[in-house]
Amino acid sequence: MRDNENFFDEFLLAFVQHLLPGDKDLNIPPASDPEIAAITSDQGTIYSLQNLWSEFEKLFPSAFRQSASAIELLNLLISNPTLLSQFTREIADVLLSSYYQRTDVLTGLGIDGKPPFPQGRSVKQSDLSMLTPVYERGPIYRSLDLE
Amino acid sequence: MSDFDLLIVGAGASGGAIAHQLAESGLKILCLEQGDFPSPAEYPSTKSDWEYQKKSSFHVSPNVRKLPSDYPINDSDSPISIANFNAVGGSTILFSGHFPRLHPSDFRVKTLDGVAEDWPISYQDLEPYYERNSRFVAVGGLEGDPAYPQIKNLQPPVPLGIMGEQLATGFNKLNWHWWPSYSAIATREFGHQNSCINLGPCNTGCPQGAKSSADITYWTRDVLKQVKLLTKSRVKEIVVSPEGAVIGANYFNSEGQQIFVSARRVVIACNGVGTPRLLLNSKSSSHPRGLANSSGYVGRNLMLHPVGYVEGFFDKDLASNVGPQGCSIYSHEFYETDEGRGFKRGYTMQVLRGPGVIDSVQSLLGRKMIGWGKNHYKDFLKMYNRSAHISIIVEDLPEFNNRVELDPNLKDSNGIPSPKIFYSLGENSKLMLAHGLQKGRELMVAAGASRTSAFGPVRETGWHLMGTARMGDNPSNSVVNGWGISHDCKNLYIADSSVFVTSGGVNPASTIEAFALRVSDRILMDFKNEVGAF
Repeated sequence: MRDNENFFDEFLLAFVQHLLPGDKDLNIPPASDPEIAAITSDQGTIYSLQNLWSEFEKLFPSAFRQSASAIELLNLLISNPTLLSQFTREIADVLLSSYYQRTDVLTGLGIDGKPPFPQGRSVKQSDLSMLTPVYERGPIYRSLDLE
Repeated sequence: MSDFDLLIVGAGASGGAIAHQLAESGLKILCLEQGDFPSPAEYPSTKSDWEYQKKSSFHVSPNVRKLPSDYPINDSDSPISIANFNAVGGSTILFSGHFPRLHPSDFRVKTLDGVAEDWPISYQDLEPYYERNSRFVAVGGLEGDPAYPQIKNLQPPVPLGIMGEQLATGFNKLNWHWWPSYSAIATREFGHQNSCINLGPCNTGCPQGAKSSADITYWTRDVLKQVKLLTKSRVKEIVVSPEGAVIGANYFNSEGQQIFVSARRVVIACNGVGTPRLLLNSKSSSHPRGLANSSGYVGRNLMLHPVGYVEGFFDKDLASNVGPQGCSIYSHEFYETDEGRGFKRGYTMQVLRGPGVIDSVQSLLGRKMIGWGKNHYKDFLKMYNRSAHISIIVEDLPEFNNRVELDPNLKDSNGIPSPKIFYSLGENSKLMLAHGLQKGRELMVAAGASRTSAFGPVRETGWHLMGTARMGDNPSNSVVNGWGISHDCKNLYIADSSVFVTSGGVNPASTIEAFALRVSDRILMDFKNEVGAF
């Protein structure tokens, strides 16, 4: 008898890996990396996904009965755009928020993963001579002769 | 004998300004604030997960944040949700620091354009207070702006950045006005404010102490020695005498105990939603419709500044998310009425810096500009930091049915009835917003964007809460006079943006603070003129 809870987790890992598979060239880990997957376990999201999982099971009862593998179920999900989109929408915010705060993910993208404070950033100094035509045009606010 | 001469309810931009101005007056002053002192060391931008915190504990909506200091707001009947922050410093803790003034024409909309009502005060009445405020609030900008009468005492502007300059080329090509933003940000050391180091997300609090949030500018150590500030103290109701004069307030302290404090005069400074909520919760036999509400205008004429976003994508790196998030350049090309546009009044184009990584990925995925899977990363890198952003801030004209009421069911943690928002965009606002979105796209194309998008109104932008206790000379259609004094109770003042008669098309913070300084002058004069003066 298959342990449904573990199987759901197994499927979820396959699913997030499908969405964010990582990139070897950029040295970016996949979202199924255990550390990353752990922080996507937002209870509200998991609850919603479990509800979708039940819908999924109703749509493909034989696959679930025959103990299809997580990858086989993922392929079934991919073949059903409506359900795939529902699963994706449900997990996207939590997944992206947790995935893209990882230093190794950001570093792979060439983005500094440090918090903004205290080092700050440098910004190109302004070329205020660009304002010359604006200034030369003269006042544009409505003058009030009433005051 | 009252416990205090003056009770201020709320320690945000307006309450803080009044406390600061009157601290050395010799008056015995108490300020009650439902929030706590903010802790800059805990602001999101000190943490790696700052973008996540922005969506949770520092979310703009109290309904999402659900901090102990927050009260829930039923805004389900509004396309724009209410944004605020409850702490010493109020919503300025999370504001972006965009700090423009109203225009002279904003005070005369009825006379000039036949819409809404004129204010009982003029730009000239407020100008000395705008100027005075800049003595202790650092404002970056540039003198000589053709969109305004002369504005002085400015620090150097925040840097435009590559993105700002890119858009400036577009404005120049179209011969449209643009100017460096007026920014409540210290670009040089200023008093006890440090110089900006371009952290980026000013709208999650500034741990550098460069943003001129009210906790820093007004609640200085010197002020706190003179003014008693009780935090985590939520006012339930303003209490009146049998004759109807204000005599104090009932509030809940941090332990949940209800306490009465008496005061000779009371100032309400709780913003355009919190103030009508408190007034409507302060019913009595002498004020059966709520305090100061003989006109029936308390809670009415809510204005929110509908906001639209315009985005342009460019074929080069604009370093667009580097720099103070809400401040770069702005345009008032379409601010004043032009009958040919099909609507009255106008709007601001405010250039915003680009989003952080998470916001950026979410937005690009949501619009199918990138996908999931193996190409996700490289496609993202082709778009990231290559976008420019403009918010269109349209003048929202007052409409009587746009309003704040008390929700019959919803209550805060102290059992005090919460506000319910009824709001929809008027036709003038819709036309103006559509015009702004179209012009924003034209600007992006002129600046070289290869792709543009525009949408609005944006839901989570209800920062500017105005009009719900408006000022006027006629007690039958206004709540306070031009000094913020209630028509019904001469010892009650209202000093926040709920007194705004119209909204203008600019962020209200500088006008809120200037008006509060004007109210503080009047309070002082009223005490001095009192028999048996202090």
